[in-house]
Amino acid sequence: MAEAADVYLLMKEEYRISRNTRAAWFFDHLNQTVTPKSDEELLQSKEELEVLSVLPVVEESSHDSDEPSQQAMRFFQAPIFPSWQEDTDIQLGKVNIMNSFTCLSNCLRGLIQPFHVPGSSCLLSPMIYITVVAYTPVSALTTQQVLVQGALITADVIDEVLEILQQEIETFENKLFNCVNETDHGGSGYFLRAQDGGLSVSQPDMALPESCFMNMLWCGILALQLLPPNTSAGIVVITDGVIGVREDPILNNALAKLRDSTIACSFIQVGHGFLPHSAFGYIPHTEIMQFIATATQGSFLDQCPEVCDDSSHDMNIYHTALLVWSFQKDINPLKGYQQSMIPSPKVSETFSSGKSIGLRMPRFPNLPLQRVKHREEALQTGLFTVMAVRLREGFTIKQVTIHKSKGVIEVRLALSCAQSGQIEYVAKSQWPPTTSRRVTHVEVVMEGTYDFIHDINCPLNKMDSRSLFKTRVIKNFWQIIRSLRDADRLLVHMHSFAANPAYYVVPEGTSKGMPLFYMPPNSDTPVLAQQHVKKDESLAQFAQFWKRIALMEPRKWQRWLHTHQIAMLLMPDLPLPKHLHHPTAAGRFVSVQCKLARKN
Amino acid sequence: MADKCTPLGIVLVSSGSKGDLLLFRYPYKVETSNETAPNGLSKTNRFALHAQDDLPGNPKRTAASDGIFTCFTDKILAIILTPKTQLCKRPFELTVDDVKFVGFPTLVQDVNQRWREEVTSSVSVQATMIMFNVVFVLHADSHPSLIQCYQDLSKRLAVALKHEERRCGYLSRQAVVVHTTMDEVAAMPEDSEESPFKLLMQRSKLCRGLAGVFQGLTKTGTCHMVINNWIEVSFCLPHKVHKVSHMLKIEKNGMEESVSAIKPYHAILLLERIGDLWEALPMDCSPALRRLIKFASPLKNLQALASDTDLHLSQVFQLVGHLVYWGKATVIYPVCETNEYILSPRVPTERHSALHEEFHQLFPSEFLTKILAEFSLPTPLKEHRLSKIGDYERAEHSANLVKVVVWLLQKRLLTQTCYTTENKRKEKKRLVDKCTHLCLHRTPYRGPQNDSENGKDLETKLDSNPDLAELSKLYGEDSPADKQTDRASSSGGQPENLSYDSDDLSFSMSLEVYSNTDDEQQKLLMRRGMVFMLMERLTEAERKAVLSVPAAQSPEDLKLFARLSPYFRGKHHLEEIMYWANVERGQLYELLDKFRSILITCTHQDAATITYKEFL
Repeated sequence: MAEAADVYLLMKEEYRISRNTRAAWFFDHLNQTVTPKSDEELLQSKEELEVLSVLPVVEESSHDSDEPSQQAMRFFQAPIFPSWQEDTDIQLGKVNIMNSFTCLSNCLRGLIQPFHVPGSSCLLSPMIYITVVAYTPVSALTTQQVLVQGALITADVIDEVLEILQQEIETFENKLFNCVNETDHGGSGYFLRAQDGGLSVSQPDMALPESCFMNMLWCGILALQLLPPNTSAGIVVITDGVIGVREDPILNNALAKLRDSTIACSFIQVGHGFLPHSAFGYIPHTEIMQFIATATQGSFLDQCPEVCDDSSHDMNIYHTALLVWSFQKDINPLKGYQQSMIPSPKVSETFSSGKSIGLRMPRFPNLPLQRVKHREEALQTGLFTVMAVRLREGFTIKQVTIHKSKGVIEVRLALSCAQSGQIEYVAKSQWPPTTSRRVTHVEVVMEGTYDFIHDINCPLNKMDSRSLFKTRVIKNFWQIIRSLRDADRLLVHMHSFAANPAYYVVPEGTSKGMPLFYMPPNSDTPVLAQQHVKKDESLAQFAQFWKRIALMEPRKWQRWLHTHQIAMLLMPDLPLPKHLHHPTAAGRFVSVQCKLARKN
Repeated sequence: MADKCTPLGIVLVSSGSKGDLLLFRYPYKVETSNETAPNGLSKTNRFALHAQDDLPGNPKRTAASDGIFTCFTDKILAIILTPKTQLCKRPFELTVDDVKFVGFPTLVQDVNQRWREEVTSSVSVQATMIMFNVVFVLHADSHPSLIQCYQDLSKRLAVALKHEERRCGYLSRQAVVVHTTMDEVAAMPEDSEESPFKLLMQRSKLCRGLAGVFQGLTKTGTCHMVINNWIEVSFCLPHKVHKVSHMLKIEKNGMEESVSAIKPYHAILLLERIGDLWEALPMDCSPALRRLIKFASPLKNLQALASDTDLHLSQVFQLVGHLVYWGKATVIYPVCETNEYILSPRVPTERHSALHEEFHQLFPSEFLTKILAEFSLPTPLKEHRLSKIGDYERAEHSANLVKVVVWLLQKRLLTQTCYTTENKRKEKKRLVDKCTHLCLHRTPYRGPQNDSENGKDLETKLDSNPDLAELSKLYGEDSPADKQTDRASSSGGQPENLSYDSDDLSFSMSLEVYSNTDDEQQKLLMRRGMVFMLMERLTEAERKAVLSVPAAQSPEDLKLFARLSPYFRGKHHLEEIMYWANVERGQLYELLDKFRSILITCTHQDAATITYKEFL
């Protein structure tokens, strides 16, 4: 029996499989023997996850038998419906538009090729739905930005789709050109600066690069929701990398949304990377792209070579980057996850002169990281539930260690939440897991460079001299630490459900149809509706338990409960008035009420 | 020869159904007198002005002498600059006498099919463009790196033009404008004949743009063109941008090397006012760049800057590298009170210059000459503070002093002391540079018999022998390095003032190794743990040498040595080691002292500031 290096699993098309399910599989099969099924069985199977192939460790590792389980595992998803959305970011050097088209076409052609997973003979061909959206910061543009919506691409139609896409992109560019030159009122060019035109530049109709990027992501999330149900969803942003993010809270918000809906956000960089002699003022922000890609389990490709058809059906880089969901991706975004994957750099530079200067540095260049233990406690719940919550929050698994002699499993998770700092979360529990007594010891460790740890622990009132950004980072860091604690408490709370019958025995009144809580007008706190019935101990307990859950924000439900999204279109109760967006004579707007969903 | 890098002219040629055509040339031949010259350009072309002085007695001055390469007629230019289609899509270079033409011929036949009818329907002549070439005219003896730059610029323009041609037939339309104008001029009566190019300057945006590119390159070394109001092409000629008056020639690769040598303990010094820089940035530029400019300070090292702006360090490096390349900023050591500054050898000494006026406006109570006199001897900044300049309050005074120093640095009137030291020791310095990469260094007490034991070692040693003699002499005497070392270790308690006193006296170390007798073998076995670490990084001979040093008996010292050993290859200087390995200055010096029999420090230039040095 060999130790497995990589295990490939197949996700079936019927389900969208959450991160938790994937993690659960990993822990269920930890230290177990897995055998791949035969191809026929695989196709017949109704299981959510099927073992596709197992690759043994190539080199004989000299690990002690105590910690054998440092194995990486890749989930594999196919046949899939990843919806796919592309953003052409054309804020600058518009020649990039054509480049990004080439890029898109290379990528799509690469993706739809059938392939088989290493170690398996089953030929898989992905089913991919795409939506392509072009994005521009010029807000005056009112034309259609969605170039293609919900197209299922296969080998047969790819040429047709690409042709349409190319036309659409060209039309889009022309429209944008007209729009830009119209708004300029015959000046010397929209993109010219003030001294050239003699007029001050008309700023307002162009969004800031920072907000652009966020808009782009939200737009992508929306586009994904409009696609057919799928196993795995992904946003692919094709950009030159001249992007920025404004504030951490906003970014975190978007990331949380992406993670909650298990959307991987990947980036393909067009053009070249950083060259000092690139056009003045345009420097790709590679780090932020890598950060987002890592945080959402996406990937970052800094080039998009053409993939030729070959009969070997090996996985090409697009398959690996965009279809495979790896359980244990590198936490370190700057390590260049993709760079190692592309064997021969085929750079199709538009402007090539000289070589790219390798200014890349390791993320924490050799600096020893300081570790400060922030909190330690024992949670009355199982390890896997803790893990599930953490994975939802964006933590990645750094290491899994089993100490057989002590009967302890230790899982290290990490969340990088600042440029030079991260939070490490260590969870320890009994191994093999027992059903009776479930206690997880957790530790929260702040890890970062000396300066960072110093800043974090310095009292806030001493930070007057600090820059706004620094303060923001620090506040954000503490916010995350706090929300970790809150989440842990809520988790324990929810897992006390089974411990006390009062929590799950539905009170008499409620079972008769009386509401448990009601919301008083102009208040955020629910009030117990059945107080008048009688002083009931179990009712109080029941209410107390459920009150916290009732208070939970709806968008966080998915993190805690199994939710299923049902899309429905509401019908207005009354026919809509003609002028919805104009105030009535009284200066008020008409309110629209919808109580029923549209049938059919 | 400062003006070697400015172009003599720019030419746009095309080839098509009407044959090879010259669409535009600039500067064009001035027909009658100087007053018809556009914007007085023939005057701003410095080559034209100084041609007499620069090339006395050069027999082949005909082509380039008047700056407008007149001996080439339009027809000839059109023919020689339009290569066959096989030569398209690749850099183009042609030398005729003392002028060189560089360009990037580009085919447009494949993209302009659909525009042909639309564009040419209005005019009588049916013309199709097959290829075009934006050509820069240079001196024949231009440096290869310069040629590469111009080819790059030509390519950028070509790619943008081709894209516009594909999108809306822009180039074809402009060509029609050119043809019509030329026909008009040809039809004019002879006495009122005017240069068609002068008319084109009014009529064609493309021609105006190309002329703008030429002017930009001539004046500042940068150019910025928006083709058809749509595609932005910007370009910077480092050779020109970094040249402040009569500076040395900069090679592009050297520039890139110095850009990549930026270190976390450096600081950025903006050479322009923040406001100007802010204005100059394109509207949709990288947001990170704006943020960086806002927070940049010559007092702050890049690491601190990174944390202030919440950007990743490597991103900060890229941004700084970009600004340095475009001549908007330079890299210095953070200004701190232990820095020593001295006048640059090229300070203008005349009493009334533009600099004096500018200075007086900024600091009304000071006089530039007085301040400059202040810095004629290298003294640490804090000593300036204690005396002399005015009777300010202490705090105000020092703040003002820093402002003055920053201004002087921006104008490159000051340099850090090391510069003079380096000059004095130029010869030795070169030797040192050579030595640091040799890892073997024979100590005096060792006899030649050991060399014969190991033939391989012997060779290296013999090679390095003469240099080593010099080296040990340098090391033995009271070198600036030693002085620096002493001072630095005494003031080792200020780690945040990362700046070392010297700018380019970077210290690097060589590991000196000699072969050894076998009885070390036993100790080697005893301390396997540490040695294992060493084994990964050092050669067999080196390891033995390390273990034979008395200090290696102490496990603590050996541990530190093992940890730092990757840096002992002569490629890292002390600041760098302190930064990467996170050791304190004191610790490091102690270690250097303990292992001094096998470690040497030597000085050589800091790669990042070499370019900066050369400006001074």
